[in-house]
Amino acid sequence: MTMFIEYLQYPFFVRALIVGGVIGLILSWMSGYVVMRREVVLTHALSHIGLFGIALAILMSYPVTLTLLAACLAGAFLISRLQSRKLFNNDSLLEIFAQLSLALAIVIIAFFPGYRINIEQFLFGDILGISRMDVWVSLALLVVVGVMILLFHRTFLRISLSDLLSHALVRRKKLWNGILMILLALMIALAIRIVGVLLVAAFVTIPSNTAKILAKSIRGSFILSACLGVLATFAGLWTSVIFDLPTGATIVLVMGLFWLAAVVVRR
Amino acid sequence: MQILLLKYSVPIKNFFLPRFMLLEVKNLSVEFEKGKKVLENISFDVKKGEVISLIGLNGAGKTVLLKTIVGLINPVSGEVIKNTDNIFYIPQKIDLDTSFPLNVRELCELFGAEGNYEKYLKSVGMDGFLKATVSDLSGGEYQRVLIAIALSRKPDLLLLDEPVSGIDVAGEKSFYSLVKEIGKDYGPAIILVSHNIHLVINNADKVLCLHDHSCCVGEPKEVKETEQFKEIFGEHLQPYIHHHDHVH
Repeated sequence: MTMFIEYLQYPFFVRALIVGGVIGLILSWMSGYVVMRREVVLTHALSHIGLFGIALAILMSYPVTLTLLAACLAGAFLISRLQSRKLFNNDSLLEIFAQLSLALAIVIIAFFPGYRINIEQFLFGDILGISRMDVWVSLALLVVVGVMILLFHRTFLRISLSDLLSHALVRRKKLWNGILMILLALMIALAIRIVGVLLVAAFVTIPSNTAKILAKSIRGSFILSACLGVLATFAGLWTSVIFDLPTGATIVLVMGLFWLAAVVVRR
Repeated sequence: MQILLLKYSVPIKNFFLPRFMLLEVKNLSVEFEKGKKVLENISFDVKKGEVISLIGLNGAGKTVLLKTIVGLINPVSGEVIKNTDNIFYIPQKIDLDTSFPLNVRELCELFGAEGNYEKYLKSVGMDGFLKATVSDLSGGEYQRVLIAIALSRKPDLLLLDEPVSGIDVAGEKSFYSLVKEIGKDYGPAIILVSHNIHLVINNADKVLCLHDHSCCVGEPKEVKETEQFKEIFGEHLQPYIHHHDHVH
């Protein structure tokens, strides 16, 4: 127990807890909407677009976090526009975005021969390297996204549960779908700093899929998903510092353990 | 005075639609690929409280017509003139993810009118199912819940797309009786897609037959008594093949 409390003395760890807690809470809640809409691949696409944003920031010497946010938002907007035209299957469209963004990022980075870029921190996350600025950004996002979810959860739930049934009830459904995508893009941009591009999809897949097989109601599944997300983040953080493991991957493994336990219990 | 009149005037499209007329479809055409029409020059109207059965072979465009009425699909030509925005559409296949633990109460609270749905659940015989998970309901039970949700919204026009698919014959009959009661007690106009020609004839105010274009619209009794109808459908419940070489 002392070992756990000891780490709270370190500012880097407290920052990691705050940002991780925010991501775990909000993104795990939103994972309910994403899983209902069968748009888990969207997270994959947005995270790769985020990688392109990071590469662009390095190329142009822009602030990384802001460029990452801007790239995710622009990507979300473009995807949303193309989805509404219904030219492609959704999963094909998202995979095209993912692969093109990844390829662009690799090409841009290749323009820096000899330039040592620690791209690994973006691929696998670096929550222990979170700055004070990142903490303020994450708290600001918590307020913005959190308020939107508190006010409009019912609308988001309607449009996510059934496109056809919600048509009669939700005016400007395209606008609400766009808003939801923007909120998701913002949170994914932040989550890339914790678990990295390759693992961020875990936050929008595993908590909701764990909660839905344990909960007795939709409301319960959302609350449980958020709790599991926060718990996994905190448990993963502590475990990774104690055993000197990669933090992002450890958080995802803890989520995976919760999911496995849920599957066993449910059987 | 002129400015006031302009500000408070009704939209031109609905101005000429009589009050008892809920919907008028005029020369409606829908195509998904260029030159490949799904619907061509469909015209009909729906009056308040009418029960209309929409029949046709698979692929005739019945679902497309309903979706065009509610605005899910845009036509290439023609118009859908509505005297109301209070239209509720119950699709043939609901796109709900039933792997989530959604119960009937939550479904009603999300899509039905708040505080109003329990009365309608009782009227369709589903009041004891509030805690039941949606995924555990049978096809017929699910349809009844959706109808209760729709009724709680007090729609002027209710669109039911093959509501009896997945329901047995006895259930079908009971469902059509329910539809008749709904029309009588609650008064919405209903457009109902059906493959069961016999029950359609006995339960609808009007029949709209669809086969690439609007073939015929008329009262079931008139339709039923024509020689051509007897020749095509016989007097028994059986799958039907519709020939378009007759006039109603």
